[in-house]
Amino acid sequence: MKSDASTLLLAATLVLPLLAAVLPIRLAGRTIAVAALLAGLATLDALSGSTVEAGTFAITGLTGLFALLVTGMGATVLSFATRALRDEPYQQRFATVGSLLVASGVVLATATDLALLIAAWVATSALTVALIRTGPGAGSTERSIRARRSFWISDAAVIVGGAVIIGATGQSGLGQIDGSSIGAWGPLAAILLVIGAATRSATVPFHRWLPDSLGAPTPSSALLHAGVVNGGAMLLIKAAPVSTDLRAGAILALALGAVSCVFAEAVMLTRADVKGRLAWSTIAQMSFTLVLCGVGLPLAAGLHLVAHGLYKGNLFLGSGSGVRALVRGRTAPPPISRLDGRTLGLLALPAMAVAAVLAVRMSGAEFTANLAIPAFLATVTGAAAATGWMRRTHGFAPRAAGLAAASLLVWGFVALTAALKVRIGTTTSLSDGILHPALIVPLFVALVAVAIARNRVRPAGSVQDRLWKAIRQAGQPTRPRGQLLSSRARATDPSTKPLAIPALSGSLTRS
Amino acid sequence: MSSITHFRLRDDIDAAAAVVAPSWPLSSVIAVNPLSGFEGQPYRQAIDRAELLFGSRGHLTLAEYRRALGAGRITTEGLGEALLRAVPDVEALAPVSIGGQDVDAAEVLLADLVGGADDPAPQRSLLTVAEEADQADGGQRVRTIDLACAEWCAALASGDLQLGDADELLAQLYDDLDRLRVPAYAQRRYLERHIAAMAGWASHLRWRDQTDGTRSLAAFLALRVRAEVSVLSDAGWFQSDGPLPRPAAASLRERAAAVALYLGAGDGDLDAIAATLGRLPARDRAQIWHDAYERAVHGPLVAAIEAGSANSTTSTTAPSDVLAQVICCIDVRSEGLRRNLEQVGAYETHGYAGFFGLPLHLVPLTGGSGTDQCPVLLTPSDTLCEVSRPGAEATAQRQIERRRLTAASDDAWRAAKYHPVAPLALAEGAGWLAGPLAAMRTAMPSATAWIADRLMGRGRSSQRSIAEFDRTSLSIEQQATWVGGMLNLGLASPQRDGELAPLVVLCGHTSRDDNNPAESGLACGACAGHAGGSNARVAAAMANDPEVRAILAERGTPIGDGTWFLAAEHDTSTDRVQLLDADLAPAGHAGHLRQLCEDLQVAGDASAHERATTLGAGSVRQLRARGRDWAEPVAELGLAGNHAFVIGPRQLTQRLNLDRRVFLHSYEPDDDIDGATLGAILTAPLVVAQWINAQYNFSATDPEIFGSGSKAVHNPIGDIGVLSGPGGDLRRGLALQSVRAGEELLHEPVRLLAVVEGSPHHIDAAIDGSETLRQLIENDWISLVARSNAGERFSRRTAEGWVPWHSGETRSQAAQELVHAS
Repeated sequence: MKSDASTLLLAATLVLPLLAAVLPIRLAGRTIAVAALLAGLATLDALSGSTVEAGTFAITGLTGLFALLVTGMGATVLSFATRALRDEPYQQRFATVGSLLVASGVVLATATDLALLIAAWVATSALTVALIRTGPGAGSTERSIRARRSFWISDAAVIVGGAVIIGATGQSGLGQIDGSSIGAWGPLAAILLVIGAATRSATVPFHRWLPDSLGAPTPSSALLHAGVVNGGAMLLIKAAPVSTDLRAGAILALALGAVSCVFAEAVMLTRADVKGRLAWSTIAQMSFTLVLCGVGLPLAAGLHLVAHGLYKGNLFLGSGSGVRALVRGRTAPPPISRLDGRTLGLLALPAMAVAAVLAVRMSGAEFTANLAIPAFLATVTGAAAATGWMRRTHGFAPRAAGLAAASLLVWGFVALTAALKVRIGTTTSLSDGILHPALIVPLFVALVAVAIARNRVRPAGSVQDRLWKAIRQAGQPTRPRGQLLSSRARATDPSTKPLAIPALSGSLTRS
Repeated sequence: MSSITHFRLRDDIDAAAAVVAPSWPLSSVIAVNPLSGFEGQPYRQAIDRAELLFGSRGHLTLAEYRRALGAGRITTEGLGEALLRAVPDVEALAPVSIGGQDVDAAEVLLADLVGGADDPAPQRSLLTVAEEADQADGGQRVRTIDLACAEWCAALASGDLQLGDADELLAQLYDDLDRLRVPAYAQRRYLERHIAAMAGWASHLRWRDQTDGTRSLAAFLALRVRAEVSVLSDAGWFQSDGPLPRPAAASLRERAAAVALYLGAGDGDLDAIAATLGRLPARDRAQIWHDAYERAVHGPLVAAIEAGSANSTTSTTAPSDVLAQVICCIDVRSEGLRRNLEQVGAYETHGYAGFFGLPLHLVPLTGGSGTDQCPVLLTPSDTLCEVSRPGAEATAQRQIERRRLTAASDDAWRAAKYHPVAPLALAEGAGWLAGPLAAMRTAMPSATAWIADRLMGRGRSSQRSIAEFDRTSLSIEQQATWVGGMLNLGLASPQRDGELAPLVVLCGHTSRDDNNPAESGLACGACAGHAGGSNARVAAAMANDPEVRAILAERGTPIGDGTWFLAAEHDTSTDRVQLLDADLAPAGHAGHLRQLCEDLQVAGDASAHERATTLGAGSVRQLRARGRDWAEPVAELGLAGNHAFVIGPRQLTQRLNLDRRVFLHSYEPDDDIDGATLGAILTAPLVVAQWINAQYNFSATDPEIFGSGSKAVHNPIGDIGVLSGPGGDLRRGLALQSVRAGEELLHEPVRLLAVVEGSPHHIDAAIDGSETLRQLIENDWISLVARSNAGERFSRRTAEGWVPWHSGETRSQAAQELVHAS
């Protein structure tokens, strides 16, 4: 069933951000807000089973959510910047570049043609670098140089990969490309696409550009973390038949994602600054979506992308709020629980598990890995939150209420996920992966191990101590090597060598 | 290393540390003079020295001063007077022949001030060896050192690192300085250069050291110098103790060319012009402008106070006709509220430090560690805990339980956020709510705040007072002394038979600014960056206590039975005043309270209306919504614009609109026979006001070095401070948005003028008794003018003694003439 009204909605969603680029910031924000509204309507239409198409663009349940995320966060960030960047000389430039970035994001989300997708990909790279450069003049090159270099790799990989696919299959429509027709070129194309995606998602070893970009204004970071880094997994999901549905692509995505997720988690634990923690957490989360793509769970990955974007955008915009929370903690009654965390956690875990299973059963969805993994994670999260709650409260009533509230949230989350998956699953054709979803389990084990290791006492000079020092140093903002050095100076300058001083003298132990 | 060397090096480190001021953490932002360690030197010398060390600017640029002239903030006459003060013999100089016509030398110098070539940007010129090596070959050694040191500081500050053995570190530092060939006599000054190179973190470490007695700054220096040694290999060593040549100031030739252009002279006159310009060193020009700016800001205030007392109609309203005597904080923001309140009705207002003289640590009803509620100059003498009031135990308990639940939800959030695996689902689950919430907060900040308040149970402020601070640990005598301090402000002066108004309102202040890590900087500085309402409540409870009143009566300062002390809190972001514990007032005051509430509302609205105009907010409603808008970078201006501190009775300033720019401290010279009260005001509140003034001034003149730069890129690091971007030096001082809006100055950088109505002898005695005060006044960090009686003219206290404030006036005729000639 094709809907003409929805075609108009889609066309307007594509055009409005472009229009916003030539408007003053206040109007630009509002224009993109209208685009977000229209994208939302089109997505609803798509979820209800309509085909929403306009030329080589289409909105399905999942890509509609992508478009909604990009326009929604774009509108929020521009409106925020209308006030937050008042009197900054680069405010209007921010509005223009931001609007264009939203426009290219919408194209990326809705394009159904590989060539078009690649064009939007390259435009997004250039605009992202421009966005990072926008801001206080000092350090604008420094904070964007790594992005420029990474995106150069990313663009090259995606362009070559795309050319191979189009050349080998003779197709450029994403719907028509068949992974089996690509033949011997398949692994190469898949690997190139995964590399391109990993770069955009700031996955190890292409991750440095994201923490470096923190020198850009807060609204820019919000837009990057909410709307740009998602592009990687979005590409893999849309081009799944020629990327993660092929063994080489799947293995690479899983391996890169898993290593990167554990590493970023470890580095995050060593960062003290708010934005640094957020950036490394984004790297971990984006790596996780890559893992999900690798084990053939594109739906789970897609929903994770969207929700994480919303979450991280909020946290970046509110990055100045932490001190008040800290002060608030100083006027709170102390925890008085006699039960320790482990006991409480064991109490909470079954309750959450029941809530999650109930939600799945009630939704009538198939209990596949696409749902099992979010359900499992929600159970763990609910149990952690409920434990935190119960340690501060005392008596039966407040504890039971907290437990009930947490269960309800877990139930709601799993039910929503299930409902979305049913709706999207019936409206979008997504193939099963080639690797077994259980391969994700070692990742969870590794994450827990990192957290435990972090909290252990580490004698100075021990292996653990040295390892954590190395991890901390990996998270340091460093200058891009060779950037400002003349070649003559580089030859003699000892400072280009890693500094052999005891940069962190003293023992790295938790007090 | 011998123990003598050991101690010498330790002393050197302590002395070198003075080039930065301690930086308080974000939860209790305290304004400090970034150059407080330079107060032993004359102001001008200090900012020159700071320029060598930091590459900082201590005044505006000539272009900015000229803009102020164009905008009429500085007049040409004022500039002429300033020139006369700087070059007293200017009129005796030979006239310059330009195009065959004789032009006054003064006119040529004025032309240079107004149209001459600008000075080059300041540059750091006391460099470390690594900096010099970098300058020589374009290397990146300093970056390497800075990165390592910044990370070390961040690790230390987040508790991830313990300091090594202090003695070993000193020995290491000593060896490394030796390797750099820094001779013993120059080591202190060399360490100063290293501290100045990373002034932000060094400021934090200074605060740490003075708070918990560690020696982290010494460890930092040991690390820095070790890093320097390791990146230098043999690329260089210490050469000289002196600074590098400063960037050349505008040359006489350039200046002469610009002046010739300005005056329409030909090339032939350049030599003659240059010869005259030689009388005025290029760098002195900014100083002349600065002087003119200060006079332009201060002159009208002093003149208005003098004019006010000349046609004085000071109707000493009997306090019984006054509905309430309102004691506000001396904070400049109280001025708007006080002025408007006085206009609304029969109110008498007074200014007193907003902690009401109570050096206390207060723990709220809900528990926790509590907060120091007094200026950081003082150490709290006692800790008071809030307890439920008799009869309200159940309500109080409910409030504690409610607070426990909000704390528990914070805990629940944190438990999920810091769990190793949970964040993967938390981001997803919370995202569906967080995204729409972010959009709502941005698009409809006021509505979102309203809903949040309802959900949190705020907004419905309960009319019943359920808790009080337990004062049993304090002696009644001590409490009476503290209350007596307030009565001393002239509330109960002898000529009124000690009669007070029916209500005495103690009005503390606070502020609310969402998503601003430096929010505490907008709260009450006298309460160490916390809300002042609790202090007001404690003080009011003391003053209402019959036992305290009995002692006060014995001491000759009775409080009548018809007087009730009432606490209040002024929210400076909305200009709304909330009465606290009002239900405790005796029934007979109900009418007064109703009237007071209405009047406070009218006065607050008027005050907010004035601020909406200056802040460029469209309406009062918009202005009031700013504090709750997370996107808003300037909820309120804080103490921006502050320029003077008036000590004396309110009559001095009563009829003046001081535009929220003046600290007002009440003082009755007649009640202060021995000068002790004046001495206390000069050595505590005035000193703190100077810290604030200096912080605003230097943050405005150099927002990057003394200020913390634009808020847009701030990245808070725990409670410690903010970074700009991912790393680097910790920022100190005020954000750019607090002092400037684009090209416009929200704070005009002028030094504090203290205006005192009181005995010069008492002032001299205070100066003799306090080295801090002497330095501030005699080294020109503040100017102080005084007169003993209304009707007299003001004299200024200088290092040489008292001179007429109007010293310029005798010459102002001459100044006017020279201006008219041009």
